[in-house]
Amino acid sequence: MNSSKLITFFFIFFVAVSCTPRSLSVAQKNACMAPSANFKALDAIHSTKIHAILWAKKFAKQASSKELSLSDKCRQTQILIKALYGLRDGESATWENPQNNTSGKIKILNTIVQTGIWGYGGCRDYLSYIKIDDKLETFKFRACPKELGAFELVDSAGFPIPGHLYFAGWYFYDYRFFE
Amino acid sequence: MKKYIIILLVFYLNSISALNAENSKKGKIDFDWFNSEEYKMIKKMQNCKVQYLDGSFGTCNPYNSYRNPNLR
Repeated sequence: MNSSKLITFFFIFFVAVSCTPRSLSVAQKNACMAPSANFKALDAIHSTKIHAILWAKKFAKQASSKELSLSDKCRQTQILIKALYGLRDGESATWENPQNNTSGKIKILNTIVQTGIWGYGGCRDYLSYIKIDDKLETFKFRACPKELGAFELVDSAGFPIPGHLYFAGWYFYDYRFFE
Repeated sequence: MKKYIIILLVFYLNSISALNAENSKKGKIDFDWFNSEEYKMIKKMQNCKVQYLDGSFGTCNPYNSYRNPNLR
């Protein structure tokens, strides 16, 4: 192997290591895995399962974009668990951290009650808001109990879509696939 | 060639140590998360299992009851 090839190899290796979602493993270790708080990293990993090329773009994007601190990820996770297990449809929970100029909100939209053999019974649709320095991001998810049958749900076009995450007794699906 | 490798290695190790230092600063949680009810709920639900009448296992997520009750 000549020197130019070796340098190219090191460069690619360095870029690949830099793009790895390191903060995700820290969030996972501390059980602060609210999908909206870790969305870019989760979405990049999710894309490796369904896209041939797009995942590389998403990995690069998540490596360069501003994200919540670990404490704020935990705050978002706290209200998510509170909302999914404790709030009724239409109710919401919020947090605010003036020190970082960040805030978050979860609003439960609806809970699906299954009537037939197949369906999304037990799933809860919710909106998640995250504000960093006055920039608001909105996410919509479908959270489903574990025994729904499989990790994959069929989207509106009939394709099986894997969940973004299994966490705290719920599978989380990006709602964009079901619209 | 060795010179290039050493320079790249130094750059790489330097960047990793800088990132780790940054992560350790960010890695502190500034409220009592680990004693919160929600954290305890996560830990409970992550590993909790119940056995149904048909012998199959499921999680303790109470929203399972919103599925067709005839299936259980």
